[in-house]
Amino acid sequence: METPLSNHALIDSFEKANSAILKIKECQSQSEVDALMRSLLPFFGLESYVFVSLKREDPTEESCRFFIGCAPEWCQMYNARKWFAIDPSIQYALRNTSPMLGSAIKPESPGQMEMLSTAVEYGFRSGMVIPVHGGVKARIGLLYLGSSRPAPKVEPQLLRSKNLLRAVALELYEWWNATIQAEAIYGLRFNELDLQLLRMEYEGLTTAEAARELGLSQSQINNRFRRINAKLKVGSKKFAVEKAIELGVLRV
Amino acid sequence: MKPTKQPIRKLLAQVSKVVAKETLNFRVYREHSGFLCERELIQRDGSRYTQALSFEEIGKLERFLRSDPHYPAIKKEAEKLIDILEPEVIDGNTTLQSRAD
Repeated sequence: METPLSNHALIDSFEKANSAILKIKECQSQSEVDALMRSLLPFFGLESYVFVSLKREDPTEESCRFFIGCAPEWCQMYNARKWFAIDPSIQYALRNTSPMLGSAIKPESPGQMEMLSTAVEYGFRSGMVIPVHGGVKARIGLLYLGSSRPAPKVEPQLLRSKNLLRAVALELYEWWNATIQAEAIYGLRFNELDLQLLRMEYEGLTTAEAARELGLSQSQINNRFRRINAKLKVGSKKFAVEKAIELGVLRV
Repeated sequence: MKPTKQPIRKLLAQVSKVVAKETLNFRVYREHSGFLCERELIQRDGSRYTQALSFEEIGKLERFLRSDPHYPAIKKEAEKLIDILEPEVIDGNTTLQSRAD
């Protein structure tokens, strides 16, 4: 099998890095995104990354998706030790939008200290964390970037490249959300009308208004919603919208 | 908003096991340019926690499976997964030789 990395030219300039970042949205698979990220990271003096997508209202590990671009053992250990509940980077990301250097993250408990010192063993000795926020009810993204080299050797370049790294996080966030949405829509066999009806319900249109807008009868709208509700395993249009948002089908 | 196409990928193998009243699913896909392993933990209240690992060599997948906190409970299933996938995954241009790191 052709190695995906061989498809990516050496990135040795800001222009090439920017060009690579813009290609993230064109990736057709997670493995393609991963290959692109691995070709991009060395330009910034980095070796590892993890991208997390989590729910704003429920920032516990139960609502998380992790895209692993580091030693696989690290994520397994992070999960097993439930470090998500105490991770200072997650706590930072829930309330902030600016990138933060790893050296600026100060542990405030023995548990956090243990977590951060273990992270060093798995390639996160220095680096940066970059939150990404979408709409009010949207999922939050958090990009962890790591290097095994000490902070003074890595972080000055990260600061100079902050805006470009922020663009990486934004592109990953958009790609990840689109992927979650596509999977959910495909899995539920929703068509364009289903999505339109959910959007209209979210925006507060009545059945009569939606029917007028779409050129359908009210009973056609209601029948359609019965099928939508059945697919989402809910009992009402209101809950259908909530479930659709939760699953990523409806992005708000 | 138009329905988007599902990412192109083919399910190669999956295992599922109930461990400590939680459901642990591993699914491995062949994608456009590599392989993807999803580890999904479904907790008792229905909440889901997913890790997605891209890999090109079987050794990376083995490391992921063996470092799973529930590995002792899923060892048999994990080994079966590797047996199914090994012929599908090529390390560079050569067929894999040995497994263990």
